Amino acid sequence: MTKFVATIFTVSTLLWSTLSVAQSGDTDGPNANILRWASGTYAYTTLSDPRDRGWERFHMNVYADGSRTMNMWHDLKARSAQFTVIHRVEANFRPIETFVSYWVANGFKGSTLIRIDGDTLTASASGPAGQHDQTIPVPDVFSVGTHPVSADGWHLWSDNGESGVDQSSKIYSMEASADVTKPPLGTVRDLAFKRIGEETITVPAGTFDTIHYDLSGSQVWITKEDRLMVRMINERFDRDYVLTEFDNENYGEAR
Amino acid sequence: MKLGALSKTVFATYAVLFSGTAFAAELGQNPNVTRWSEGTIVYRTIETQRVRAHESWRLTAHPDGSRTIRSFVDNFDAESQLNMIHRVAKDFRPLESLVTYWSKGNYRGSGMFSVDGPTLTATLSGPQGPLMETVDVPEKFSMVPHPLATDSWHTWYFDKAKGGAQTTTLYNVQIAAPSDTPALGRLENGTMTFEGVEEVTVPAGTFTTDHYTMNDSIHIWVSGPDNMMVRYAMPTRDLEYVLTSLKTGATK
Repeated sequence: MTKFVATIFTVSTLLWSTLSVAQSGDTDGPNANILRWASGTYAYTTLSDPRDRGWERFHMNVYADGSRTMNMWHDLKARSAQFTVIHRVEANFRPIETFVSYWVANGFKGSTLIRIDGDTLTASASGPAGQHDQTIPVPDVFSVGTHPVSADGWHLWSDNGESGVDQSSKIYSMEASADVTKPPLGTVRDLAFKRIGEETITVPAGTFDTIHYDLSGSQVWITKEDRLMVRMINERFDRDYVLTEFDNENYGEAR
Repeated sequence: MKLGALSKTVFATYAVLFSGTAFAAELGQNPNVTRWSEGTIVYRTIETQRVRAHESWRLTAHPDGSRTIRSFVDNFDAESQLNMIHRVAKDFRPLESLVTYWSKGNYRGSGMFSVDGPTLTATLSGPQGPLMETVDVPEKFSMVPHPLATDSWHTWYFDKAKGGAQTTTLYNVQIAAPSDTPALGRLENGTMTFEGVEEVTVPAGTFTTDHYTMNDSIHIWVSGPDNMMVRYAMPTRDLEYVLTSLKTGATK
């Protein structure tokens, strides 16, 4: 028994044990690692009907060094897709690391770990298509597109603040089709956007001070500090992604 | 560069899932999601009920029986924060796990753990630089990425018909340990005993559970087809972990 107790504490509960608490000193919070957080839910609908196409949940942390982690889960039932993603970015939103797990209409498509070290992106994908590794150069200004919408505002981090002017960036966009013979790896593409201006909009989750962009034909409204998606619409494809629930803490006055 | 000129390229790239063709599945439920559940767990002391941490998790059961669980832990007592995506096969044997850890205001690193038959491959990225190890794992083992929600899955190969104390093998992710501990993970053995079926009431409700003990010291109550953690207690350490809220569904 004694042996197992010693073992199991290092196994499952070392971090939580009273011993570690005694070493670190009790705290009643908040967690020193978390500068602020936000969580929420999106509804996916068509613009015209509107018809329910799916939904998404997210939880974002901002850490003491300014970096952010976005946890995303979506159920895009309209496409029989279900994606689970953890996405980390630096204080300036440049990607650090991403993990995706994709289920598509034809079953499990695979999972991929993507890491960025300076100007090099390495990705390792495994799934029905087998094991595939990728190493490619990436520019200083780029983002990772994983397809849930929560972090899509992070594609716009290079915005120069000038409204009405065409701007461009790069995106490492993940292959996410229903074809499971194609591994979930990405390619770097051009991404065009235009800052429209600051707007206050009301969605089911509340009223938000936002920046409005044209993102390659989609209209997006994102929060200022953390670039969280509030709403994205695409009239051409009859799509609407809207924040329906929002919760946060220490998130500032103008959420 | 003109915005319009780029749009065609970008739609093929970024908005592939937005395309306008309506699928037959547009009107139905997602066939990839057999069922889902989400819950919260409070970490607290037993005697004074002092809250030490919060965990929120979301589980998806897939049509092949495999499961994906995403967990977020805010352990302000230990000054740590964890994010995890953990996948297991139909029988709960680990498939892969991605965990990221923060400790005392510093990034501790992330670990990717992939299981392919008898081999577990771990790759770590963090302040210590990249590390990698390959470990032989038995058929019957479980992983400890440290969010409590996955600790109920250590019971998956317990043989109730056989009964008695049985050996468990756990791959313990060391990245969550204090910073002077070597990272990656290690295999550790212990024993587990099935104590019986019990009704357990926690803030999330009353559940019919399987009660297990790990060497008579750690008590685990699990429930349902997904072996959901209802309560985890270590009386000798005055610690418990209790399910405080739960939502379930086949789709939203």
